[in-house]
Amino acid sequence: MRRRRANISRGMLFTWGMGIGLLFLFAVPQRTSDRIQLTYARLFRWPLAAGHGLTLAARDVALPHGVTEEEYRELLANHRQIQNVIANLQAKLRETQRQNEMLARLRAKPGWETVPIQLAPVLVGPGAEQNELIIGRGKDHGLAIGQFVMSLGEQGTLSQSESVIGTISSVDARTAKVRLLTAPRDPKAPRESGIVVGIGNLSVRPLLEGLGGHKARIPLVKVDGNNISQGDPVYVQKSQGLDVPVIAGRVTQCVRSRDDPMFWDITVEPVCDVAGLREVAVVVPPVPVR
Amino acid sequence: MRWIRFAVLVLAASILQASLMDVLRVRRDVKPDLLLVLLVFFGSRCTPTDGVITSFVLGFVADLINPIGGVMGPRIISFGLFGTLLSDVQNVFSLRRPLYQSVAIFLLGVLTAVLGYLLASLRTEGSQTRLLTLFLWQPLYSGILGPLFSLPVGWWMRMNRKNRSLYGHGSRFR
Repeated sequence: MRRRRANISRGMLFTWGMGIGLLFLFAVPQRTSDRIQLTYARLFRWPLAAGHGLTLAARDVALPHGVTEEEYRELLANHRQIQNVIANLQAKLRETQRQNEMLARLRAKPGWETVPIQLAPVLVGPGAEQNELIIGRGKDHGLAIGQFVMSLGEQGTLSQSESVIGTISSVDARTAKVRLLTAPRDPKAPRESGIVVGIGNLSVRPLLEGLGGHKARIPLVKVDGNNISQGDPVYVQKSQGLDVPVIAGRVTQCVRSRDDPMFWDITVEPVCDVAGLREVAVVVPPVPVR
Repeated sequence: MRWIRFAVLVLAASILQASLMDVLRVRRDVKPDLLLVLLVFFGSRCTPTDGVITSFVLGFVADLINPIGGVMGPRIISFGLFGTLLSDVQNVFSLRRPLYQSVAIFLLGVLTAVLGYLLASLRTEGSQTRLLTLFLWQPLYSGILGPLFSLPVGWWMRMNRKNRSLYGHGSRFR
């Protein structure tokens, strides 16, 4: 009798249990199920949080199989070092991508497709005298004395036109000095050491000499047949890897020479404000293969 | 059956399962299922009536802390069904030996996981559960570690004595 009662009650219990399970599965809304689970989590928040904290703590100190604590510390140090290297490489990658974009923009302009260019960061600015820059590229990057240095398009908030700002005057393995167009000519240097330029549409090819104080001059241009006015562009002519004439400055003053009225005394001001440059482009002509 | 001790045990097991069992985790998400171990323990040592109650209660708690596909119900049904069957089978096979316990835990783990998953699939579409872990690795791992928990659980429930008659005491509320 007792056994029979137990069986019946067992059958009933089983039916009730299955009924509750089916009820939860098909009839109870998901929101209610979620609420029941959340209530459990809220009621036992403290032991659950403590257990989770203990688990995390245990995982922190748990060493992988076969690794001593010293080895583990060494591995951690290596890991941190590698993370730093990765971070540096990522920064370098971003910098290279930025330079590539800058070069791509430059090359998209007519006449600049084939000009061989090496980008160089400005390490030391022009200072008050506006004579020299020091850039972060040198012989190792193919730089040589006499190569043209140009300003680039957009740099930060500055919008600089691509213009010649000077030439490489001395070069080291990884750095180089840029002599700006406005740097005064060395009195001992021959007059031919100036840069050959063109003025507007004129066919004459005079030499540009620096005057200092953010100015340059063009001497020995005959008055006859050469109409020059203020604002005319002054171009550096094709040479040293430049495939096209590139603007260097504009005529700010053009008066007859006091020494010889047969010639113009032309004052030129660069179009680029070198003080704001963070990066320049050096025209590096390819070395001919023997 | 000492129900108050059972309630404390199930509560502690649920908290351990939800938090501290991560310490025993292997690979990415394989950890022993304490509630499955308890299901086999009570299914093999309780009276058949108590076995039904414990199975459904453990299924409910399993659904509470780790529902398959976020749905409650599948584990209540699967634990209830296979726990009840196990409590029937215990009259034929003795599951006191650790090896048999391991095999029982593994088999019940697979069966409850498959049925639970199928039932959950009726309610949710495309559950993101890792099936191999659910159907194989977790039951296997629980089967390996399960017998270790039997001794302390038996001590707590005062069920380690071998000569206890299954039907002699009936259910007792202590």
